[in-house]
Amino acid sequence: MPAACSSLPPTAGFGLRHPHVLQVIDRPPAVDWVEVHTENYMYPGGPRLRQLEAVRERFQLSFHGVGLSLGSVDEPDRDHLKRIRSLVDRFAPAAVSDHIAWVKAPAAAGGASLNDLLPLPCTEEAVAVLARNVGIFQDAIGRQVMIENPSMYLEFTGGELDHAAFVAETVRRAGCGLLLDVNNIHVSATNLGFDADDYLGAMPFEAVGEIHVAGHTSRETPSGVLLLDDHGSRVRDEVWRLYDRALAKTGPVATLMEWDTDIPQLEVLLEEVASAQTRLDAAAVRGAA
Amino acid sequence: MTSLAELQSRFAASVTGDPSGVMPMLADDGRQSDRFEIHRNNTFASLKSVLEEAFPTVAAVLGQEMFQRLSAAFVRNHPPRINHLLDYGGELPRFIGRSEPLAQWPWLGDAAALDWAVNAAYGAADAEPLAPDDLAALPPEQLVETQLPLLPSAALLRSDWPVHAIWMNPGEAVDVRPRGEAVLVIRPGVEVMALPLDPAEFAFLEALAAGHPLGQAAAAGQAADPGFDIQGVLARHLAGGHFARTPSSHKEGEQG
Repeated sequence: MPAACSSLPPTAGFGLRHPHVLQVIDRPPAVDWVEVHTENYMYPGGPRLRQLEAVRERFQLSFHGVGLSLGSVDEPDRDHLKRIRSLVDRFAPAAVSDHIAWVKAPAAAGGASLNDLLPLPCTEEAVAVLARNVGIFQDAIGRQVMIENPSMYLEFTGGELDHAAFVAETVRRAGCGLLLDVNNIHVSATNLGFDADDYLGAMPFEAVGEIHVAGHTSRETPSGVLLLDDHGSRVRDEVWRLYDRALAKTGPVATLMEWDTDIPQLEVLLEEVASAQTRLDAAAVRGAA
Repeated sequence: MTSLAELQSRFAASVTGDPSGVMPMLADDGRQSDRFEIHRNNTFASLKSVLEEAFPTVAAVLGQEMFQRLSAAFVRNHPPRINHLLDYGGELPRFIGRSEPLAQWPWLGDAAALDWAVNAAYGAADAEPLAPDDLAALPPEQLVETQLPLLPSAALLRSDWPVHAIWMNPGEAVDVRPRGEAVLVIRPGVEVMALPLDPAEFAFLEALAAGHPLGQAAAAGQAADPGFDIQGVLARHLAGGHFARTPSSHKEGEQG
């Protein structure tokens, strides 16, 4: 039963980044859909938009935003919403998403945009702010959106919900879909010391419209190792295992391979896409049995 | 319990400034400082990459270490205000011009302005170019009154330094001597170009860009150089598709 937030086919796609765009237009790989970062196409004109039109002729699109700052105490920026709306109207993506995070400081504190997906405290107030802002987002573009569970590196004092309940409650109150990132679950669980399976088990699976898999790295810090969600390598085995467990709950659902730093040749990316597709096929067989 | 507004204000101030403000809000496991540092790094490293891509000449001249210091200082003083970064860095040329440590490269601010114009031209609005035939149809008395706006991607820059030569070959920008240069940055179609201009050509295009009619622009060119070849220059920029076709030029073209 596909969630209303996404009309993506239940197959594996990949995050299309600039170094691969011309190659993908020239020789389209055998995938049904690709995902792009919405903010990378917020140009008035020029070649990038024309390239996206060529991509759109061959693939369905998922628009993944990194800049709306849905977790900001302020309401979403109206100009930013207009830019998203105009891209959505022009390219008719099969899914639109952003993150459970904040990017921009409060206007009262200068309004700096920090270009990082910043963490929220697991409080009722943060749930209410996210639900309000997702509602504004959905109204502005006239469709349901998905929000992605975060990668966490730190814990605030005064949390009122656990991390999984915070995500589940936000999705429920906002009335939106969930973009389930299983790599983020593994990274957060390792960094904050909770159980990844428990977290996964608390997700609202009926709301999942897309799954993300990606690689992460270990960073040495003076106080020990932290996992860094850098999308710069192949998917780790422990993340594939979480992915299989998620598929057992959701059934086959659109799955995206994300690779954003140290971007490899397209062939490497497509090998990871094939691994995801094999798992999707197995889940489909299990579902039919 | 800290309000979300307070938390976000203090967190943001701690990312770009003194991190001690955020620490009381973080759970104390002895690692909170290292944890917060991940976010500081993300902000400064990702914005440095954005600036490096927009300012390749500046990055090549300064080298990694000094560019990183410039980028960090710029981010602290001019953090992005909007949540997409395709427009981030517009203040960097002036920031460089005011920077004392960079005073040994007095031309670097102008080179940065050229980088910025090239970056901005890439994503500027598309426009249909004016065809030479659109003008050929006009009677001479109407021609001198015609406005010829450049494409939306166009930027005209003038410097007391050979900025175009530096932009072409930043690795050879050592011991640079003052020599004025003017440049037209423009994107007809998909490719951004930076074309060096002689002073009369610059004066002519600058007048057109300011909205003055062709007759006045030609006079500006002649004032800069009595031998200004108006016909040759106009033909070259028409052939390059550098002028935008406007509703009025369209109509006039059709009447002819």
